[in-house]
Amino acid sequence: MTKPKWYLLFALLLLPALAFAGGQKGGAAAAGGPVSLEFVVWSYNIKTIQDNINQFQMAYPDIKVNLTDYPWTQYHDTMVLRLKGKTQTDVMYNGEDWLPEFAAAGWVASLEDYFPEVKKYKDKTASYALADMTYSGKLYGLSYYADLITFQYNKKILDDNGMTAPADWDEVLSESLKLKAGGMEYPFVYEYAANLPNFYSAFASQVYGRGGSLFDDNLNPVLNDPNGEAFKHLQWLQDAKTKHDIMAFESHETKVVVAMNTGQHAFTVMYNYDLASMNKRPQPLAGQFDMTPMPGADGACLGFAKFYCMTAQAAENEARRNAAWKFIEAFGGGDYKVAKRWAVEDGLGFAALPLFDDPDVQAAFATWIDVDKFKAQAKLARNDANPEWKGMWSEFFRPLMAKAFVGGATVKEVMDQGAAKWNEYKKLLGQ
Amino acid sequence: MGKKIAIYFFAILLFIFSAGPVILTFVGGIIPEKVLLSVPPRWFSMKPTFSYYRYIFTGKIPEAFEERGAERAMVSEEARLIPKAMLTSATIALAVMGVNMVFGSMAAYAFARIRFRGKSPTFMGIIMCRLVPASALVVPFYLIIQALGLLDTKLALVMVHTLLTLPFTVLILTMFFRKIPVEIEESAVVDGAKPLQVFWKITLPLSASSMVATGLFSFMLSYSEFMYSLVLGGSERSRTLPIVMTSLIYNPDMIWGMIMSGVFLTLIPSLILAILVWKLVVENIILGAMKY
Amino acid sequence: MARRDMSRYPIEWLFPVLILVIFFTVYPFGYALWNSLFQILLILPVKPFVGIKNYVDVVSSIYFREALFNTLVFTAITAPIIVVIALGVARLLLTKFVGRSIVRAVVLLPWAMPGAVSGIVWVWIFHGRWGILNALLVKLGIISSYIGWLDHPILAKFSVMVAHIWTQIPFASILLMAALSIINKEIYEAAEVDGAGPTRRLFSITLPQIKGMMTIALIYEFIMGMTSYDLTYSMTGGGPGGATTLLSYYVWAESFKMLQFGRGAALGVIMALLTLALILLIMRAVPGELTVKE
Repeated sequence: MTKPKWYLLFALLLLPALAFAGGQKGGAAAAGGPVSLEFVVWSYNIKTIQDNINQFQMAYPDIKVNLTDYPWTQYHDTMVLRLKGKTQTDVMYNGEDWLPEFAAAGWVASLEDYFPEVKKYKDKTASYALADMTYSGKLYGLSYYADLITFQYNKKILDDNGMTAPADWDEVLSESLKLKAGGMEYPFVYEYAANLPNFYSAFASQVYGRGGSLFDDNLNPVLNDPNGEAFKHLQWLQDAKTKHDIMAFESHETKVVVAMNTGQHAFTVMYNYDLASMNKRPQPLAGQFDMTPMPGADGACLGFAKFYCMTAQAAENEARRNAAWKFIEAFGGGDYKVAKRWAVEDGLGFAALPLFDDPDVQAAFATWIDVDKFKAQAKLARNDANPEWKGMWSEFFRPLMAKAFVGGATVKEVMDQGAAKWNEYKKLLGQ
Repeated sequence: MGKKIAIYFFAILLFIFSAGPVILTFVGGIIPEKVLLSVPPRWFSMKPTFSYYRYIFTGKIPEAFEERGAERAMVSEEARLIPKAMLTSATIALAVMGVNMVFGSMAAYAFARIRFRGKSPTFMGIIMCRLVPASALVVPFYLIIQALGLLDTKLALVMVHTLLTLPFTVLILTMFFRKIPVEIEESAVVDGAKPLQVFWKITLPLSASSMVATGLFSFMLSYSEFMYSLVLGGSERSRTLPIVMTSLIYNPDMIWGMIMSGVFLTLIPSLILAILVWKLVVENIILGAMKY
Repeated sequence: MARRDMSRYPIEWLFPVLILVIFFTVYPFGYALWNSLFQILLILPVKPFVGIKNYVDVVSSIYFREALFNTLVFTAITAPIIVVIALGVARLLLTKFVGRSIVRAVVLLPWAMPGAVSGIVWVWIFHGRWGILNALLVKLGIISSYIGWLDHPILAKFSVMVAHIWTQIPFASILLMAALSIINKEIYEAAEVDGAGPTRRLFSITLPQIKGMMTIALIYEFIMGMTSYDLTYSMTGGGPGGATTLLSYYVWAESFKMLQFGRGAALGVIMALLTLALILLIMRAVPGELTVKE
């Protein structure tokens, strides 16, 4: 009878694997030793972040920073779980649409309350970014990066066809139809992803270009006003897809970058840093792309900020919050060294006004964007309304918008339902 | 004759269907970006390059990325995390496989061969715990793991992945053990064998193919699991391959060719395991074929 | 020993499995069930007891009907197809032919890819403007212009199903290979002697012999279909216009995006009950094999 030796093999595999698998997280810092800060980010260029951390730790030997990261697409949801579960978190990336949620849930603390000296950064910060980092009149963070959602196009294709960048949406349509007649099946490629928050933000950005709004200053919905720009623009988008058939969909910005680089499309609306991705080698059509002011009477667009934020957990402990403040100031404030690095090396936008005139930043940006147009667009940028229920409402509204795009619902239905839900939330949660 | 043609036809069809996408990723990792996504595809108009694979393992930036002058190339750093993540995933998956095979088979033996009160509810209880979608149980799982101090460890993932796979393992092996003719085991008992000996020397060898199936099943499920690896992880210590690949795919600096290289690499541990295991299975079925 | 009288509870055989299962099941299930009865909105401090209101709200919510329909259709179509194809694959891989070991190894490859990763490869295949399938079909002269596989609701549903089937074939095939390999060959030989042709042998011998394993495979594929998420959403994001939205997305979204943990838990319970109902239906159709009597 043959002995089943290979079961022994598997059992042997099991033992060392379990040995490798075990082990607890390194113990907390000993009392009286360095303060340890738990810093949570999303997984973009962790190496750069760690390098920045190392430099910080050399300058502040009594602070040890432990880095944790989650993929960007799951960051918000994982943070909800992490903060709800009260896992030690001290400094974290935060975003404009999450701040009110997290603040209302009691998870983040205002910097202004504990460190009033943060106010000195206010007038060096772009207005849309400042608004995004403020909740209940208090400043909650300093910016990691800030960017715009802009209208981007293939300059070479337009030049070859004797066209200039469109100034309003009628022109976008007429140029698209002309390109379509010339053989380009879908001149406009759109990031169509109802499951992503920026599907809504991009829409808002386009509405701002027209000079319109979705909500008024008192947070009442105006998106369902049939004479309003928001209504008209959703109609424009629906017609572009269903009537004129000039639009192609991609389910993520990364695929839009790829699509634009196949030369089959001329226009898109995306995060501005995607222009840097489109224009860099070895993308096949690198260098052919540029941005233009958002089409529409106003030419404004949406601006937003992501920032470093201190948690309520850190604020409870004096040593931790002092360390957190030093860290946040070093990364998001000071001489803006870290923000400048992100701008120059990775094309990330920034909220710090001085950096707009920094020659290194301008030189780096000039390789992929028209710096003057960028500065002009940033000046016109507006932040979106972000009350506590914005995230939840957006989850509700985006699938409806998605339906409108493909003609599965009328614009009126969608806008009315969106307004009704907003009012419902406002009644439940607004003060 | 017609039968042979049919066999080869279906074999080729199967090969194309299963391996087609995989071959696509391999090709995608070596064709230069300029011609990779052209319409119509002009793949062979430029020389293939292994620079993406080299970058992943050594960090040497592919020539295609190099910028003129002082401009820094924008290469996704995430790709460099692939090798370590592959190792982490493989380690966890091996441990899960081992636990499943050892403890799953023991439990299955009890259900198949031992009569005892409470068998049905115990069995049903084990199977039913896979009914609730894993996404609904994230919060309590997270709290349990955190209470144990095991956040961001491989052990936590081994435990959770085992839980996700054990019910099926037990179900499948119970079914298999029951199919083994009882007379063989009974004659061994008559010869004086104790239950553990019967299990070790008779039941296991005769159910080799199902052990292989459940072993591979638990390995693959663990290797490709995403949700719990995400929420229970957070740093390089426990970062698994699906997490790294997700970051890579949704990174705006991504280059299609780089992603494809990464995807192809992720298959290598499983391919090795599959080849090893199949060799064992072949031997076993030939041995087992003596009886069946 | 196998047919002895009732033994005492064989704790030494079951202990590790029981420990793990009890530890990780009793509390989480109770937690989820308990939470489903309360209105838990994370940014509100109060958590009133609302009984079955969460369940009612979820079922009447704007996404539920379409996601339920999509999920059921997805599951009901893919599960049987997978099992049937897997049976064919299993049978094929047990017959001798040159290159069999290569095909055997290759068949396992789809198994090793995480859902989101398979998604991106299949996007490349099905893409309406730079996809490989389109390029191939045009080259073979079957179509003259690219088809938007992911852009039309029905085609998008088809595409995600094909991708899902691809990822599931390996497991089902291995399972059925194992089942087929322990059938006693003597039964076949006797049937051949009696003059039974291949089809007769298939339906009278093979299928009854592997009924149990096929049922397990079917149940497993039903569970996989009901809880599927990564692959589909990385291919289509749920689009176009909601055509490929799935319930599993909303279990997560209700809790972590809409911050309504009570509703998320309720939806999880609903899905568990749905899956249970489906499984009971299957077991009713194939009686006897799966129950474990004392």
